[in-house]
Amino acid sequence: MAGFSEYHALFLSAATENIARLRNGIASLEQNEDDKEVIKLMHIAAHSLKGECLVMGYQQLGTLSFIMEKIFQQAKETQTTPTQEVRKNVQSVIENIAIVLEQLEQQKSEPDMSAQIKSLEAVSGIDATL
Amino acid sequence: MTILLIEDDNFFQKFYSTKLRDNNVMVEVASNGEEGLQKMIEARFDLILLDLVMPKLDGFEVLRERAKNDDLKKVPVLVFSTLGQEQDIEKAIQLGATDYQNKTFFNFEELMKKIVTLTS
Repeated sequence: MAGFSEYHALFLSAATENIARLRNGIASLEQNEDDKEVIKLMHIAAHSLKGECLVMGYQQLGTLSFIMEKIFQQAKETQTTPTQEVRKNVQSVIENIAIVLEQLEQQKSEPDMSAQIKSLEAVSGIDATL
Repeated sequence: MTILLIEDDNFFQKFYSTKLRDNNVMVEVASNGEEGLQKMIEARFDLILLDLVMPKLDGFEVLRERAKNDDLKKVPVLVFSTLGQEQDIEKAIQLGATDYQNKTFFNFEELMKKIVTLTS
């Protein structure tokens, strides 16, 4: 995004931190899937990651983060835990975003993530149409 | 003009505070709603920029607390919205937020116009 290149390093650093929070959160839920505090923290991390990606022009990363945000927002509001299938899918998305962030650090462009988006939409029931 | 930015995300804290300071606006930052509310009580600001999704006290809770205090109610609040938060914006306005700004489709001119309008 024009004029935002000076923020690219800051974006990568912040996004990487949020990926770490999401990674830790998913691991925690495998130990205790009823942990409401972890669900809340994952909602916040996904929300932050969404904003960071969208403002920098990374639409697909933003969309994946948006779906994760909605998954954990729903879980928080209904006092439930995402199913194991959803959690597995989210874990895969987190790892793929981590890889993409490494690629972006090497000045590569955002890859096509439409298959991941469709898969996460299908398993979560969340429509991420922007 | 002094603005209080209540925002938990490091990226947006630096992004907005840098842009505002480059435009001669003094910025104080709080990393969550609890800290933000404390700063609002301790000092006088011309405007509050408020994120809604935050740890500890979230933006809605800050607005509820602000609504109980006649002095705090005098300070305009511009809430940040992002994609998928349309209902949240409605709720924030009902709780007393003065206006909102989409922080992900960033337009600094538009933000500054709103800030100038709200603080004049």
